[in-house]
Amino acid sequence: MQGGHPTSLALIVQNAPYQNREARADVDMALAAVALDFAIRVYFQGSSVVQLVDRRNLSDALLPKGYRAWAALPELGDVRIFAERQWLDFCREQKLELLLPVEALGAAEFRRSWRSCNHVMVL
Amino acid sequence: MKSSASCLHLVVRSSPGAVDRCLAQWEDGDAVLFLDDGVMHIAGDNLDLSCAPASEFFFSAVDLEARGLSGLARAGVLPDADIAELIRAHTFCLTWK
Repeated sequence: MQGGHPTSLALIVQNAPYQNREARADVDMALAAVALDFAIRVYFQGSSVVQLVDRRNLSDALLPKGYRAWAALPELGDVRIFAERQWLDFCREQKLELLLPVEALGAAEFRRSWRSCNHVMVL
Repeated sequence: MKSSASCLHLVVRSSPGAVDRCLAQWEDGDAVLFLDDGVMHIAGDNLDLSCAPASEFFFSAVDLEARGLSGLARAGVLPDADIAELIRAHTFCLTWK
């Protein structure tokens, strides 16, 4: 803690769904950080925002259900989610519903925004 | 919350995606250090320098030598001792794979 305010942690997510060998690795890191009382700012870079797409039927493809855990983050603490505006526009045009509210950032805003946090990690 | 701060980007893979994602986050004052298999980018095929000055690109001397690429080095080649100083000079340090 610093001055009574929670320490902020930016997590830059770069992986598209199932690009990792461990499907839940990104969301598990975010859940662990919020459990440790960090103020979490999650930045989905590029197509990684597709991790948040709802209404997938994972079981038929024998895929793990881990990604739905992103929806639990805002209930656990100080969490804000960001993605690049062009990718959110893409999701809207394709009628891809997301699991939780995501704030749109332009490319320049995106690369400046995470620098306002105390710490940053690329997942 | 801090104000805008500089970042040292570590590129540790030879894939074009790693360097593309890194350069998408480039801001003035940042630097890029190519380490491990990331030194393969010294061949230049995947480097779009339009968004970042080449003077802020650095390569690990040890990792270049380990891959037989020392002959391609022109400038920005750092021994391990200088890498610590480069890290200290930046607020953030991010690793791109």
